[in-house]
Amino acid sequence: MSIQSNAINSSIDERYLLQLFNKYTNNKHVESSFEQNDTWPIKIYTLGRFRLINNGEPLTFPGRAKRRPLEMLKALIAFGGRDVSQERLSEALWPDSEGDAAHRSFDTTLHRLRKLIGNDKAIVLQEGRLSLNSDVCWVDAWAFERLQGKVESILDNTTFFNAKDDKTDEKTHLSNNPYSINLEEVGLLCDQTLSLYQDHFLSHSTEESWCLTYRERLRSKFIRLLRKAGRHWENNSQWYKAVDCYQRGLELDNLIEGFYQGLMNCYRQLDLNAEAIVNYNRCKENLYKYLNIKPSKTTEEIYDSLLN
Amino acid sequence: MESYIVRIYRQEDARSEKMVGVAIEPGEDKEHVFNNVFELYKLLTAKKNIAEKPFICNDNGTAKSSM
Repeated sequence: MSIQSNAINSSIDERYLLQLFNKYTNNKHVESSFEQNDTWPIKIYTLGRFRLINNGEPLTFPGRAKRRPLEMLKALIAFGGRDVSQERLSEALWPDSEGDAAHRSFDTTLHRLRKLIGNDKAIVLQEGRLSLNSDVCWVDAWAFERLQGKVESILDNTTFFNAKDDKTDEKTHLSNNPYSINLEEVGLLCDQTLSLYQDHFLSHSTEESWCLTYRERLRSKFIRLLRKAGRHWENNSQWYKAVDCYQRGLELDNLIEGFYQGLMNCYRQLDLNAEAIVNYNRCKENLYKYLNIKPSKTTEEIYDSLLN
Repeated sequence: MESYIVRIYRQEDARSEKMVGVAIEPGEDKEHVFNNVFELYKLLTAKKNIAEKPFICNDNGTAKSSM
């Protein structure tokens, strides 16, 4: 079973997640993100290895013949997937073709793409604009974006309480707050959202310029969520959970100083000063090696606190 | 390739010209470090056929400052 399928078909009850999101967000789009297994005949995975699933069956694309139609599908997703003009797609896919030639290539490739997907309703062409039918197609990147926005808003706007906390009065008080949520629940929401981001958008299949903007946007959202989730866990003294977020962030980009600072803070709280110092040294080394700068004042202050 | 990915790792404040980051040429594995907005501008305009007035984005993709 693939990593993605593992995340999706994990032991966590998706209906429960759905209830949680509805409880805190009351948003129907979020609902659609989790109902992956049954609702959509076509599932498209773009975060990491590109995969296309039709009614549970992975489609394979041997040879070069399918390359163009698949590129068209990828570009369509990269451009937002809705109402993408024929001209924009043609320019991305056939930059050297003009007029009728580009138009013919577009028509032929679209016909082959529809045939390849095996579902006539998956792609809609209307008034020269192409859209992926969101009633038929589920796209992991779109699900990630929707959930990321919702989780961020929950992290930004909620008051948290620990379900294991025995302070009944406090719990009752917070439960009356429509935005209160317990730590286990928010952990579940964060984990599920982060698990959708297996790797960068189309990272193994294309380096074309048309995919870069969307790739960077998703990457940026993922990093922001890791930061916020890490901070959330720190605020609730869940140090190891925060460490997981920061380490994942550094695996993605080892020049983001905030992640080192977070790690140093967490290890200090866990009385693991040696680990904290190791991370300070890593930070110092990488910043100097790649950016030719020293750690910031904040990083140095955390480091000093470790020595005292 | 004519595209660049610009990542800013340190900036004193949103309006500051002092910023440290890298401009990456995708597909070519080339990374250029810059230490202020003028160095960044120089990097981005080194190839004539790119936009002459690049703008810098926040995490959410909105323009932070233009040149």
